[in-house]
Amino acid sequence: MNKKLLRNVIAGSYALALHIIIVFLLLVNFDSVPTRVAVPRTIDIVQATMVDEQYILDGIAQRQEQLEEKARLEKEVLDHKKEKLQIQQQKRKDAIEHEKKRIDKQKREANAKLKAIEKNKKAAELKKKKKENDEKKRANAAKKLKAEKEKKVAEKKKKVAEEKRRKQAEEKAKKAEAHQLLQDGLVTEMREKEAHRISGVVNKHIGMIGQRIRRYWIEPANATQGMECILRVILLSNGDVKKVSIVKSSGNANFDRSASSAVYKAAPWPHPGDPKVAAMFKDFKFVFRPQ
Amino acid sequence: MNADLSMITLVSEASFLVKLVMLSLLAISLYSWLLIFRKREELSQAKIDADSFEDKFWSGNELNKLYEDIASTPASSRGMEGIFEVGFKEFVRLKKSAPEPGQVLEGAQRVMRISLAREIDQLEMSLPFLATAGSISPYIGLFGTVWGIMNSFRALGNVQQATLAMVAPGIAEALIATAMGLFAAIPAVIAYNRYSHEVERLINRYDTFLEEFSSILQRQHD
Repeated sequence: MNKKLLRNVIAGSYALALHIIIVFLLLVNFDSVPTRVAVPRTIDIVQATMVDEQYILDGIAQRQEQLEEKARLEKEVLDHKKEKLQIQQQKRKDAIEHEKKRIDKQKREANAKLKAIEKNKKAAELKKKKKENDEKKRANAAKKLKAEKEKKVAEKKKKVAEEKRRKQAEEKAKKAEAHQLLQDGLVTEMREKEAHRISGVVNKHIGMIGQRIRRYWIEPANATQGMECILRVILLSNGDVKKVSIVKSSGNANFDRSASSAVYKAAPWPHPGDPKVAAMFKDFKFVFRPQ
Repeated sequence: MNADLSMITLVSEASFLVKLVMLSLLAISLYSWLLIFRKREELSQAKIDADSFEDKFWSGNELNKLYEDIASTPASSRGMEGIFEVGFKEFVRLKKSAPEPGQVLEGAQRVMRISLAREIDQLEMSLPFLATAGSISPYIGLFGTVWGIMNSFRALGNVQQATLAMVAPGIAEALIATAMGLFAAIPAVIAYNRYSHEVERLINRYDTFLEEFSSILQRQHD
């Protein structure tokens, strides 16, 4: 405990000394630089403002004169334009009044014509109504005869339609049966595909397991070529190793131990990606063959 | 208007918040340098210990004698020595009372793994502070700078005729905060990268030794 404290104090004093040195160096460097830069700048600024004031005062007087002249010229031009516009407007007003008078005349003539046409129309409508009444009476009698005939025809048609419906229902039932058969076929095919996919994932995962164990495996000194052992690995759901046991020993205890410790070291084991495959690899046996 | 732009006046005329930022950056820098020096000593000591122990271990001496040598020293042994001591002690103890041959080695290995985990914890201690200092202090410095510049511009807004001479001291004073942030961050980042690499290598060495030692124990046991 005392030793630790002493170490801390020593390291702390080193750090403090380093900082003091650096701050000192910075202070020395910093002071000498900016004063040289700062002085000429202030002089520049003062000169610039002195010249500017006189120049600007002269410039402002000249400008104002110029502006006044311009304003006068512009006013004259504007007055001229205004007069022209007034004359034009007067002309337009006269033309518009003339046209208004003409339109009023035309309207009066048109009203007289419309009244004459309406009188003619009323007379024609009265005649039409009389004719329509006569025709309705005749049509009703004819309709009754027709309706009786149509009833008979409709009954015949109904019978034919019912037969047709029966036939269609039978056909539908047949089709549905065929469809069911096809679906069953598809389901089995899907299952086969799923099994195929799972076996692919499993093979990939087995390859990955072998590679991973080999990567973490440290070869014991007295291992010989061609040794192999069968391990039983139980994994937790987060990929950690719960237990490794040796199902079939290679005959060399060192080799077995190195293999099982490689399994521990390789934790956490990656998830295979498929929940079904993951369930298969919760508890599995594995042949460890280094070559 | 002859502004005094020396560093001391710049720092002392800074606003309270900027001063606070500078102070905290100075504290971070001091502490991270303290850690740098201490960690360097610690790691080099661990490396020297590991080297000398490996020499002793592979010199072909009897394991019993080596254990007695280590156990007789009063100080508690660290690093590889510690792993060896704990593992061998457990091995001998279990061998005397072992019910089954497999359990002896497993027990010794478990004890050594625990010891290794403790070593790793020791080695990695205080590295996180260096990482944090390296990533955070530029931000703290930047915060101080932004605050200082903000204030100097706000003061500028109240004046009719603005000149560079009015803004410059404020900005210079604010920029010191960024400089200090970088000053604290750069060594911390370098040290973190270097030390984490060294710690990694040491852990690897311990791990390999543990493996080799257990295979030796296995041979002795058979």
